[in-house]
Amino acid sequence: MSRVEQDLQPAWLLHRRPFRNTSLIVELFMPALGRVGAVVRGGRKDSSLSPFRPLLVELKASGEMYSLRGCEPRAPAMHLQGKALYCGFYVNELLTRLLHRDDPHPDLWPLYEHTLNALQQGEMLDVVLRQFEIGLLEEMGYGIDLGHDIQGEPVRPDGYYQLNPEQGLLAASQGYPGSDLLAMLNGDWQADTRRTARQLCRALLAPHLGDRPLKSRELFRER
Amino acid sequence: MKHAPLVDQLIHAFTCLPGVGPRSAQRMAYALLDRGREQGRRLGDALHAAMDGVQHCQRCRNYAEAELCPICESPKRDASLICIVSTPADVLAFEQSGEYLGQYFVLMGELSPLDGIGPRELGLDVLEQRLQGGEIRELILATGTTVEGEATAHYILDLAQDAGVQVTRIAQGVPMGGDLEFVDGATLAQALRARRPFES
Repeated sequence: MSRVEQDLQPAWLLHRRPFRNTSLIVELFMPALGRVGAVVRGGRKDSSLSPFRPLLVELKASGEMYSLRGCEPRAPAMHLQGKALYCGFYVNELLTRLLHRDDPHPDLWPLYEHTLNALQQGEMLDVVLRQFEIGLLEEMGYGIDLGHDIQGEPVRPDGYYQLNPEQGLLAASQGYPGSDLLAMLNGDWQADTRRTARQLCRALLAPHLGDRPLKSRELFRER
Repeated sequence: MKHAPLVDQLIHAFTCLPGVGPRSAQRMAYALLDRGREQGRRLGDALHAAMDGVQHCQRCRNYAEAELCPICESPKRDASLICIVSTPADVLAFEQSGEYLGQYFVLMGELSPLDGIGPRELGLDVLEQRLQGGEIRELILATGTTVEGEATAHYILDLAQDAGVQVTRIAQGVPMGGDLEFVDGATLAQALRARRPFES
C-alpha cells in the first residue's frame, strides 16, 4: 500500500465556502476527528468537493485548520432531491452548529450515514430527522429518558409531561402526551406522535442553538 | 508610515477588489498617480455614479438605474416567459446566446442555509407574488447544478406548482463541439437520461 492510500480517510463534506480567489474552506465530518475545518488550495473548481458525496481525503495539520492535500470520491453521490435535500442541509446545519471542531464522535458517523441513506429512500423524512436529532443529542450527552420522568417513575400513557431540557420529563396536567412519548420510544410513528416528537426535539435543541434559529428550517414551506 | 496618508488610503481602498492583494493594490495606485491622473478621476467619477445610481430592478432584481432594468422595460421581451438565473453574469451569458426573448428573474445567489441564505434573501417572496399574479406562463429554471442550485430549483418548482405555472429546466449534457472522452461521468449519465428522439 502506498503512503497516500494509507493517509486517505473517509469524510463527508458538510459545507464549503470560497476563500481567496481560487481556494475553499470546507467543513468536513470524519469518523476519527469529528468536525474539522480545512483549507483547499485551488479547490474552487473541484466539483467532487460537494455535500452528500462520500469522500476520501488526505489532511495535513497546519495551525488551527487542516489543509486538504488530496481528495477522491469514495462512492457515487447521494441522490437527494427536493424535501430530502432540504433535510440533508438541515442535518448538516445541525452538525456544523452543534459539534465543536476537532471533537471526535465516532458513534455519530454511522448515524449520519444511516440518516443520509434514509433520506435518499425518501420515506417519512420527518421521522428520519427526529431519529437523527435524538441520536445527536444523546451523543452530545443531552439525551433524555423518554420512558421515565425526573422522579424515575415510568411514563404513563394517559399522563402529560412538561420538558426541562437539562433534566428530563416532569409529570404535569398538560403538555406532551405520555402515549406519544412511549410511541416515540417504541418507534411507532403515527401522525400525532410525529407532531409531538417535532415539538419535543425542537425544545430539546433550542438551548444549544442559542438565539440564532436554524436557517434550513426556512426551506420547509408551511401551506 | 511608508506612504503619504492619501496614497496609503488609495492602496488600501483597492484591496477591497477580488483578487487584489496589497502588492497589486500598490501597483494600481502608482499607475494612476504616475501617469493616469485623468483616467483615475474618471474611475472615481464612475465609481461614485454607479454606487449611488445602481439599484435592483423591482421586477427581476438585476442591476438597474431606474425602477426597471432595460430588459424588463423593453416591449419586445415576452413578459410571460421568465428565466430564473443565479447571477447577473448568467443574464449576460443568455443574452449573448441571442436565443432568448423572454425576461429574467435574478436570484443574486442560491439557497444555502449554512451561509445564512434562505428564500427571503433571494427575493423568492417577490417571485411568489409575481407567480400568483398570473401574468407568467412559463418559468425556465437555469440555476446551477450544485446541491445549492438543485435545492433552489426545487423550492421554485414548488412555488410555481402552487401557482399553477408551467416549469421547465434548461437541458444538461454534452457541450457543443465537445469530445465525449472528456465529459465527466455525472454529466454523461444526465445526458443519457435526458436523451431525446432524433428526428430529421
